[in-house]
Amino acid sequence: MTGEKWIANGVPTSFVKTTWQSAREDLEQTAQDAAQSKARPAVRESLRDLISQTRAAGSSLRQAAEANDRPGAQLQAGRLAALRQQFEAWKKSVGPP
Amino acid sequence: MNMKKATQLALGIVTGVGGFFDIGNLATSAQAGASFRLQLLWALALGTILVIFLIEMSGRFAAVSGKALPDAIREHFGFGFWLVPFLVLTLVHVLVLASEIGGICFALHLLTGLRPAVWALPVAILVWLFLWRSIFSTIENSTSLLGLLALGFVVAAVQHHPPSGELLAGMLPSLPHHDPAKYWLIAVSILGSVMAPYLFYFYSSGAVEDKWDSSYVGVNRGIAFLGMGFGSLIAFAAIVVAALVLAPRGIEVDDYHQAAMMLTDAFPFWGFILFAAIMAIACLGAGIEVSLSMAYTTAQTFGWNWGEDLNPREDARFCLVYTGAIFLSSLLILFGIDPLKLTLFTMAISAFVLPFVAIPFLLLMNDRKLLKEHANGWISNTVAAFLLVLSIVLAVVTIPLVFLGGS
Repeated sequence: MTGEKWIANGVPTSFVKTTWQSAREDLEQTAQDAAQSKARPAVRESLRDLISQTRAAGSSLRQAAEANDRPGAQLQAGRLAALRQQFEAWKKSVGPP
Repeated sequence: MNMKKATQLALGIVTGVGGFFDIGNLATSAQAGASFRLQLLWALALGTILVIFLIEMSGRFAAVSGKALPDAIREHFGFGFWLVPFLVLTLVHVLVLASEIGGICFALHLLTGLRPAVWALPVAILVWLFLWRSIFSTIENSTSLLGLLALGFVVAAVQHHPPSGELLAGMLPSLPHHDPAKYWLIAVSILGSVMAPYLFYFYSSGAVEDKWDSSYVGVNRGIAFLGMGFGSLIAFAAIVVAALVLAPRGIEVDDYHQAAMMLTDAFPFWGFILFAAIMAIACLGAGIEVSLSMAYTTAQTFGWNWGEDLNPREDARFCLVYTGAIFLSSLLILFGIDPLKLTLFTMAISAFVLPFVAIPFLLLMNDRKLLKEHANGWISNTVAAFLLVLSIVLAVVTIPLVFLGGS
């Protein structure tokens, strides 16, 4: 949503940066928790893959915002939205914790 | 009703509207709407009914007896009896004040990109200067008038056309479809934020500051019902906006960054700035009120001179208390405590301590020697009895929920 709002001039670039910083910390925490969990290796692997893709897309979104590159930001915002859907599907496939 | 009382009533309602909405309401409303859509509206409605009665009782008490609550409780039940509620109330004051300072710092962080901790000391100085330089009516009216900016949430909620069926269903308590511990923790936190103990203690001291007498009982009733009622409308609208903007995108509020985008659908260009402004002003108003409330309570507990209209030379210890409270609370933010986590924890603790601070007050409301014909009648006592039971239940369930729902 942050990317989408930045593209529409709804939030400042500094907000994209700080939101990404906070999201990255959460992702790192989730990655650590996943690494220590007792879930099946395949489940952990798919989550790790999603996290690394999200990390890459988020980082690219931040760079695009800093460079004032709106088409680039649009691309990354779309990638993040798709990853979010993949994450929801992953959650459903795994079931409740 | 004469002109002076009509003006006081109008100002009181504005104060109620502007003064009701603070960081606790903002945080719990955003979380409730984002995670459970409109399903938790009932908790806000219940809290609002109860706080209307609490505020009405505390104003009636001050108007009839000419005394603020801590003063009267200490005199009536003795210092030993009041000591535990006083210590509990002091702890809650510090935590709530830190949450409000954290809210202002976060709003400034949104606007500037600088870390919230950077703003902790400048904000503390701003709050302190406001208190040091102003008299009570200036504080009461200016922050409340600015607080009306929060009506932006109501405008946004109307623009989103909330589904009326879901709105009505949300007014009735129901079981959650997922995350039950989180659901109940947010419900408890909403009750803690609406029935914040500082509100009714502050209100009684404010009535004494405004020199109310028993002729103000009607004005007080109007302020309690209309001011708190309209004030809760803002929190109600915030839940609706979070439910219609954040929930459909699967965004849960575990960081104020997510809440900051709540108004950007209704106001695409100004929504972000409006949110930051509402957050800053609501927290500034509440921060000033909480600082004063702590100073009032402490001064009245120890029998010191007190009054925001006095020169600081005449009530030095009163001023020292709010000075110390502001700087102590700002340290929590300076050391990097997450403002949202602190707020949610504080709201849960506010619910937990409710029996400690509400029981002495509700007992006092039945003192016919002191209040004569203005002592509680059966309606107020029925609500008080319900409140006592509810507050005890909240005290029992809050701590387990903090651990289960916060995980």
